[in-house]
Amino acid sequence: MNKIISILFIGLLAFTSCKKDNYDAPNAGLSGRFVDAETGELVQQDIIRGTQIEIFEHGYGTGQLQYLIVKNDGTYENSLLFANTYTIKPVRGNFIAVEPQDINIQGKTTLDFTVTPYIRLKDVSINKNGNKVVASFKLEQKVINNIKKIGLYAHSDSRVGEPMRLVAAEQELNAVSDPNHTYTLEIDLDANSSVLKAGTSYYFRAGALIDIGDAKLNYAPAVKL
Amino acid sequence: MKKLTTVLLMPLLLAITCCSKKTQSGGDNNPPPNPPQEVEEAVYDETGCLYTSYRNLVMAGYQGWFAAEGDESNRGWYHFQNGSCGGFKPGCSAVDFWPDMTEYTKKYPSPFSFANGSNAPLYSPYDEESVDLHFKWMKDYGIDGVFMQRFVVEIKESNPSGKRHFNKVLENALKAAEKYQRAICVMYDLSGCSAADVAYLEKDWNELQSLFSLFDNKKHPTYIRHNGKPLLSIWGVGFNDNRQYSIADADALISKLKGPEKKISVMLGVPYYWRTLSKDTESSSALHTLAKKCDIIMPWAVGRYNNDSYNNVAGGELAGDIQWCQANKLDYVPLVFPGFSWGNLKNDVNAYNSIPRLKGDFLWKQVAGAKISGAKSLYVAMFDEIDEGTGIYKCAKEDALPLHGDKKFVGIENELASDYYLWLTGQAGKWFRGESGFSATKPAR
Amino acid sequence: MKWKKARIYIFSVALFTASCAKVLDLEPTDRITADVIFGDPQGVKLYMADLYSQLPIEDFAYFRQGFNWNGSPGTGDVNNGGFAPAMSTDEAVHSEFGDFVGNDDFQWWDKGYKLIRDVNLLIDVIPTLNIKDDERAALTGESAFIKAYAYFALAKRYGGVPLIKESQKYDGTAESLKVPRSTEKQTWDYVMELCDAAIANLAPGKGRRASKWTAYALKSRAALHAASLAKFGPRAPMSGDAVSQNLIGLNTSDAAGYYSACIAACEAIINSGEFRLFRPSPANANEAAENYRLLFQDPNGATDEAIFIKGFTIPGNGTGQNYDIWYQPAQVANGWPHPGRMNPTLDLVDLYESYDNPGQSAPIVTTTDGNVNDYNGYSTAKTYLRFDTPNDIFKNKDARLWGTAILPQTNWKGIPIIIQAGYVKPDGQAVIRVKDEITINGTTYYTYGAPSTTMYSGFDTYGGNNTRTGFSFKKFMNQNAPVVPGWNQGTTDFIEFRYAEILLNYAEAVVESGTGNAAAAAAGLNDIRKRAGHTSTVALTSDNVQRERRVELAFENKRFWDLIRRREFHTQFNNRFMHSILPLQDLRALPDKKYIFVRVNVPNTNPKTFETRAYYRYIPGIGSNGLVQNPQY
Repeated sequence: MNKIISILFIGLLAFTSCKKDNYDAPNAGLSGRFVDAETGELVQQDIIRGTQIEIFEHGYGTGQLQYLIVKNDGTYENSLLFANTYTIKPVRGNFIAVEPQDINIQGKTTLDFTVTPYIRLKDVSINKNGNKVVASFKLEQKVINNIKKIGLYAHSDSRVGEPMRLVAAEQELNAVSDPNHTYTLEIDLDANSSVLKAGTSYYFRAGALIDIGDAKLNYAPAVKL
Repeated sequence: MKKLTTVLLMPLLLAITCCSKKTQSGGDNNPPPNPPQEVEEAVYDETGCLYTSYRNLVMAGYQGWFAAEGDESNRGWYHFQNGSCGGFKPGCSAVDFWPDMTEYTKKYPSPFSFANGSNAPLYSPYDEESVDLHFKWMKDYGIDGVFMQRFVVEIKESNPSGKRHFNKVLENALKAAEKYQRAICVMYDLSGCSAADVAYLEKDWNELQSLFSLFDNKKHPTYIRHNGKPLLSIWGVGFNDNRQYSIADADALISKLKGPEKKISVMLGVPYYWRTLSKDTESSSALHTLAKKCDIIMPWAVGRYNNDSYNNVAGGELAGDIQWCQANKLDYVPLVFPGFSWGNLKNDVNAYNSIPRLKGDFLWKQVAGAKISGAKSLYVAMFDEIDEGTGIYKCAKEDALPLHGDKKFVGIENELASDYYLWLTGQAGKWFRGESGFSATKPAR
Repeated sequence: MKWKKARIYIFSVALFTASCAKVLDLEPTDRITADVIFGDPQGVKLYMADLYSQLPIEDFAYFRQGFNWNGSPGTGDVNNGGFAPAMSTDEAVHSEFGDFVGNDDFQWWDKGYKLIRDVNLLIDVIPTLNIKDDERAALTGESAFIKAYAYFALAKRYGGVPLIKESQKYDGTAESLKVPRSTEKQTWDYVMELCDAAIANLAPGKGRRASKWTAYALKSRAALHAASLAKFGPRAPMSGDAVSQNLIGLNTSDAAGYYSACIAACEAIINSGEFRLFRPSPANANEAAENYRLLFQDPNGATDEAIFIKGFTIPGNGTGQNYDIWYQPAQVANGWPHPGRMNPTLDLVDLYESYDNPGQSAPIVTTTDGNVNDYNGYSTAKTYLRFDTPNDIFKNKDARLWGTAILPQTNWKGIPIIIQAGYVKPDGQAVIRVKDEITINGTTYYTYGAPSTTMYSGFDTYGGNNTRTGFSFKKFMNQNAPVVPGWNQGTTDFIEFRYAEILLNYAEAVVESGTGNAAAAAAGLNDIRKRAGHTSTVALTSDNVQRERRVELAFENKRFWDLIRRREFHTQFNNRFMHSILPLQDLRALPDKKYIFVRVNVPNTNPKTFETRAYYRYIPGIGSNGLVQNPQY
């Protein structure tokens, strides 16, 4: 921006910093779940680089958004909000876009989103077969877009997923899935012995990514092997 | 004038909007009637009505805006001609496709001729028999009906010849619709309107109703009804291309047209990204407020994707739109179009077949995409639109086109019959009316 | 004449002395400066020198903290650990830090708009100056060039930005100074427009100031950047308000126009006949490697290739640079406590072709099974290839590897640079990255290849002074003089634009657009290869162009933006480990001296992931400037 604005801004900052913070601490919270409209199950997510919830606090003119992350199991929680009216908007998700909601948050407020995941992984099995971990599953997609890729991910942490993995076995599909086809992916444990140490348990999770903008992967629950 | 908004224009248009913030308050400016009166909701006799819902129908838009020199409209080669290059003559036209004139009984010699030297005649929708033929085709191929385009700027009092033209075409169409039992509906296009023009629409609509007894279930058993009321479509609300009327103007109009007694049901024509209020759509939630007052949402998809990008662009939008409409108890009608071509209109050789038809692959991809995504009805753009090359009616094939100086016409692919897109649209009609045997694979003829 | 870092402090002083109480007393600065500075031509020259010093040139003083990070006024502690921009890419890792691209990295907002304001003030007075017409045209051209430079630097960081086309007048309300962001398309188009104005007004010629050729070069680079964003944007779809309003993102249909602008700009330079590659026809690969090194050690000996040089002439704050102290290997630190920070990755080394197999990357094969994707570490189950020296395994690799990196036990400043990660004892037990020694038949062997920290340059974590990839750094390093152990003492100049980049831009624009003169583009590509000692030609393909670009321009701070503009960052860096090669002496071979090599993940590092949002930097201060923020910030 123009320098004069910078100057004014610096000035304002200086002023603010002189004031004592005598406001109350955040005392409200928001929590909730992403529930599959059809199955009633929680919609599995990624803990990092996953679905985000944009929250916009009314009454402040800065336009600055806050973001909540969603936990792997499809729940979310933020207990450090000020009581106020907010617009809550899940974005960059792995489900058909839902509308923002205005909600008055007082104390502990809950807000569930009923959503339709882009893809459901069906008939999932993840098993150890010799020195390999093999995942097989069917895909049920709820939109007409291509499926970009499918993947099997391994990590020592139960929050395993595409962004959080030690090893990944991925396959590019770039096509609409065949609902009758059984997709198979495998991770060779020996070939990854430096990261998947023999004798240690790891979490494995299968997922599929729809080809819609910056949508996120859909998953089946992680399995410990 | 026309629905020429394409993605190409969007960056500029967006730029304009983002520089000037508009504030709107929807239709809330109108003070509610005080005291609020209990008004009895309008009830219509639907006895004998053939189309009491848009659900399970495939309908097209009908321009009917052409005139032929020598017809009784006295409008010259209206919409065939192109003012930017000097009218209608070899090397200059507004149209890319050429109608297949084989079956027309009333023809007018045009300034164009074929390679063998014979004249290439044209039709005029001002003539009853030509419109009759179009509706016969609809019946023959299984297309449920059409939305009669009514451009508000064309039917203003200051434009009596335009008004006369569109009234005559509508009269022809109403007659043919009844004869061939095709659904028919009036669709106002607000493009080019001022706020005052939008308000004028109400007057015109009232005139039409009395002039044609539109809601008479005996006289017009095929005038489409929806949610128990005659349907009217208002197109062009929420576009961010700097229109001279606002969402609030449209909201006020629709509130008046419906009236407290809910006289009609309304299909609202909105931009493609209406739900997310982004890209081609004005960033105003007033659009959503208005949408919820209407009965059907129909987003304008022409130019928003091509065959390659369709799945990626439309998949998420369709699913999200349908979910939104379900949540708000609205019906949703996606638009499909066979392709796009406006090289002659734009005097740009690169604009011929800018969205290729691919022998119907592109159209069927959209039909299947809409159906699989859960849509119940389709709007086909358009029946007879050849300025932008979206027409589905019989057009000349590539090997049967008139000469065009240093320009060219675009034809139906040689491997296909001239009625192929009518036929394919009819197949979509069958699928949407519930017949089995259809899938994402284009049906073989 | 080198343009030097003459600075005037009027603006920055005004900016930084603003205090709470004085804010409202400030006079608008334009009136003061116009009188004082522009009153005499010498003042204008001085002012111009200051503008040049503010140019966002990503040179040896450019770090993630910003430009001119060499003790220049307004910058912070020069001791930034030597974390070079190359370390935010796949070219190198730092010997200690595991950092990657951070939110606050590579910001250039306030300083960008300060430069734009400063140049706008100059543009205001150009018509009033009492100078000759050609001087006026030159000033006009230079102003446009500087402004184009500034908006290019802003556009590639932020997307669409507010376009302040004329100097703003403060009328008492801050609101009137607020300008919304233009679309990204409009911003790039404005950069093109400014380049064209510079090209039209600047005279041909060589030297250290902007010329017609530097303006074409800038346009070539900027147009290629914009074209790539348009073409490859769909690789990384983004969403949010800034996307919806087209403040970021271009349409794929925009690519053609920018590619053709790039092609035209490159052709203007190529067809001018003013430039050629430095020492284009080496007798052999060794000579090619040395030529390549010399080009960067002293660009002033290569003025046919160097189109625009940024000088670091004088040691000292704001004028010297720190590449020599940070990046020369530990053995030649000359008392400086923090050498050896630049560790070229095995990933980069793999990329260089072998003369045996032109047109293909030649990953370093260490085992008989030829598996180059096994990073699981030393295993007795594998059979390793044995070599006579710690660098025989790199034999026949492209000369530019030898001119860019110091390979294990190659000579630098007359001594062999010892880079060894351990040994395999005669009993087969491997000792790797642990300080150890073993005496066999009266000879003592050391895991790191030598007994003490001053005698080797690899793998010991001591002081963070040793490479952990197996490679140290050569390109740009001054071989002629000992390292001066102090801040800002390096004086090697930086080539901002050179002919090879223009040839590569040309090749890329032609191949990616499928338009233009493919034969000429292929010829340029192969000229560069010939200069690197290749004797065969390769076809003009996207892969060949990108590989060539990466090896030719390595460490010239191009890779970061190549990954950005081609939208490859998030796929290249998705839980990615960078890789090292561990040279081990195989003592089982005694009395023969043999070495084996193990490909591993860089020790003590974590995988790196590029967040899609980082394709754009966040815009600082939206609370006050009211701009739409980039997505996910």
